[in-house]
Amino acid sequence: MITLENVTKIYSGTTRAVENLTLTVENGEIFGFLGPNGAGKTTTIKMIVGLLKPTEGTVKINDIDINLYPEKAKKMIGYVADEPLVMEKLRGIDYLKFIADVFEVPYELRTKRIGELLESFKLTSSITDPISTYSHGMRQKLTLIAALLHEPDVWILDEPIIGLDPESAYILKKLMRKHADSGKTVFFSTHVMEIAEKLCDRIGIINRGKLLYVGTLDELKKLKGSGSLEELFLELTGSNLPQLEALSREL
Amino acid sequence: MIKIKGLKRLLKISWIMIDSTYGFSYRNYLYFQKKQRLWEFFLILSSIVTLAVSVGPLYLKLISGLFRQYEMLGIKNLFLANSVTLAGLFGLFTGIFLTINSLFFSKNVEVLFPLPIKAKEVVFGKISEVLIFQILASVILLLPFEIYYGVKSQANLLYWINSILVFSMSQIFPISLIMIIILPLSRILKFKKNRDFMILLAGIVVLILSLLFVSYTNRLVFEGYTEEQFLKLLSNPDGFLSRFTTIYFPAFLATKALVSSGIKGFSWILLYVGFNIGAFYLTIFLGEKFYYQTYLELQEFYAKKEKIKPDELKKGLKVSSLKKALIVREWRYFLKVPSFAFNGLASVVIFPVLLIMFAGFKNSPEFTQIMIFLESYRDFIVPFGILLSTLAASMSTLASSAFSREGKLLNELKMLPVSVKLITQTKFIHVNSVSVIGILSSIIALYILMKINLFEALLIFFGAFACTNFLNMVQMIIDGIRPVLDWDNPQRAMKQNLNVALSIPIVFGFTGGVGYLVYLSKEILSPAIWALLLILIGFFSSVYLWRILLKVVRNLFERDL
Ligand SMILES: Nc1ncnc2c1ncn2[C@@H]1O[C@H](COP(=O)(O)OP(=O)(O)OP(=O)(O)O)[C@@H](O)[C@H]1O
Ligand SMILES: [Mg+2]
Repeated sequence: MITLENVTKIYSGTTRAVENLTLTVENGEIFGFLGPNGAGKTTTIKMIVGLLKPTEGTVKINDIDINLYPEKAKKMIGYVADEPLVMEKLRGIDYLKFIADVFEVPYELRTKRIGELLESFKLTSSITDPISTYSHGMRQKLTLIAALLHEPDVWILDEPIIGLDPESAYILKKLMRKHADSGKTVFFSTHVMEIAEKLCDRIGIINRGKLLYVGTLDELKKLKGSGSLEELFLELTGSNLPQLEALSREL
Repeated sequence: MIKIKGLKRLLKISWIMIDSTYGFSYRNYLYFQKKQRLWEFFLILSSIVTLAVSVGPLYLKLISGLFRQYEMLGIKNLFLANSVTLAGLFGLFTGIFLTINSLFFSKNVEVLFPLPIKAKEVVFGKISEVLIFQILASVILLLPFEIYYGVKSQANLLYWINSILVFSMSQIFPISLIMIIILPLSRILKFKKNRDFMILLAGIVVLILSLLFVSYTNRLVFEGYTEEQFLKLLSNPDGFLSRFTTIYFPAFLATKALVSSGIKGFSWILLYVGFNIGAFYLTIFLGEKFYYQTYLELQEFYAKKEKIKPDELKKGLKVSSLKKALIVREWRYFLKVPSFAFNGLASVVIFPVLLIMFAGFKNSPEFTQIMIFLESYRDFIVPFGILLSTLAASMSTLASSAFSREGKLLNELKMLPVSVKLITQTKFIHVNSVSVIGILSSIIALYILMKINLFEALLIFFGAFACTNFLNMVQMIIDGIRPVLDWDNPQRAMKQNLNVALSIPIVFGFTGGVGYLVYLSKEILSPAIWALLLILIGFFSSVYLWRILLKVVRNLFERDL
């Protein structure tokens, strides 16, 4: 479970990236976080995982305040950043071993879990090569495996699907579903409306740092009238639909 | 016309490379135009002054002592020859790390690659980039000697002009020599794995071999003389000087140019200048042939992409304790980045290397002179030994870049469910382990040179360890307050890092300052008291600083990065 209470983030005293955000993501659900570029998604996610300190408000992971008990809270998080950031000169396997050691994953469990994840994401044959030889997508898969190998309760994924090939994307979506169904939490951001529509139990839409909507898609449709999520999203985030259409026709 | 245009272009390219390495115009803009962080500028300035004031007097004493001894023996010109040699050989050794680094592992080349710039132009720029740093060796080891000699012997204008020329070209030959060795070598040796390290290792091996050769020929010159023959040699200063043709040829030309007058002096300087330009041209020629291709190959990595055996995975995933995992991480992230490994290790192993060099001249008269000078302070070997080892150990630049070296990966650390205390501990342990290499190598050096006994060695070890702990903590605190994290080119975390630059006056200021105090108080305080004092100073300040360090790191981890 993730709880955000009146969370505000102001960068260097000026940019209000997130404003007074209150949100609870329950156990057993996949929560999709939507919003245009620069809306504040990554900022929110970084506050959830403890990389950024909220200017105001509190963030709790399974009722533990991440800024008060960072070590305890971080143990329960599996986080994939929007940009895969790993030490290039290491071999993939060294990186995974390091993460497993730091999260104190027992030997039997780590070999089994890593073996399975490597097979699912088709990374086994590259795992003893240096990360510098990996493609962008391969790096992303590696950080994904690293985030999931210690079986964290709470998955926090910042645009995890972009850059993955269709097969890996399919597997990841299956894994997310399975994780939520086992009573755990998945929180992810995305720009792809179809994925959000099919995968999420609930969605949140943020624009200019303010949360515009939280709830299921059906509720949103009831509220705003039918239409695809894309249309509803554009309407909510203040795009002028007729104008957009005119523009695209011109182009 | 075309020539001038080409030259302008060359200078422009060189300037871009120099500037992107050392950040001159950025600092100029920051300090003098925007008037921001001016304190940084004054800090640098005042540390240079502190350095000069603390170490300066002792250094001057050494110079004047040497000069007197050479003068007494009637071989004054060797005073200059040695200085040129020392500056050159020192440049040769310290330059190898820097040269390979900036040739092959510096990212500023990548920006130039897509542009229509010739390989030889890049190599020209690279040489300038390295030279501008290496000339520091001559500022310390050559310039004061030239000035002292000139003043003492009331030299004429020709001397001063020649000495400027000798000084400004003094590092060209060493750098060219390195490149002449490295460039073809990198093409001949084709390594599949770890190419970056193999090239460096090969270069170092070749250089050490050539150095051993130099000291061997040097020994041949001196061994087997009867006393009579030796005196005869002394009566003819040129006889001594000519031995430099085999040891370090430019020194022979330079000294000839400096001590001869009129047309003779003029012709010798022409030879000296010509020699250096020749070496330079040869380097450019080799650069054109080998440089781009090697650089590009170094950007490829070896991947085998084979099916791995099941037990390979199992072996690779063996459990380590949390602490061990973090320490291994420190070592890996340090050793796997060539710039870090070279810079960090070079400074702690430079001592034994210099020692091999020095011991090679064991039979020469200058060596004997210096030994006599050192022997007169034999009683104070423990306090001076502590300071010397501390100097070697704390100059590793690792402490002063402990957090900067993380760069963007500091976020990786931040994400780990590990306490700040443990992270600080592991960083400190890593930094200190590298420092211990420096202490040990200095102790070995002292053993070979001064025949220290086991008890003295132990005292020196503990004293140096305590003081190094303290100095490393100071440097880590400085880096923890304002780390340089936003870099793509790892060089930035080391070379362009103010925190690293600051460590030089701190370490020199401490060791030089205390050394001067020891020297001043030699009638009042015994060496034993000084040794004890140093151990206590190191120990208690480390204990005290540890808490400050923890606070700084905690702050750093709470800040948004
Ligand atoms: N380090 C930073 N310093 C200052 N402002 C920042 C920083 N990072 C982000 N911002 C600003 O905060 C706002 C929110 O950015 P954020 O990265 O959270 O957006 P996002 O929703 O993740 O966008 P995208 O869809 O493009 O990833 C933007 O206005 C951005 O300019
Ligand atoms: Mg984002």
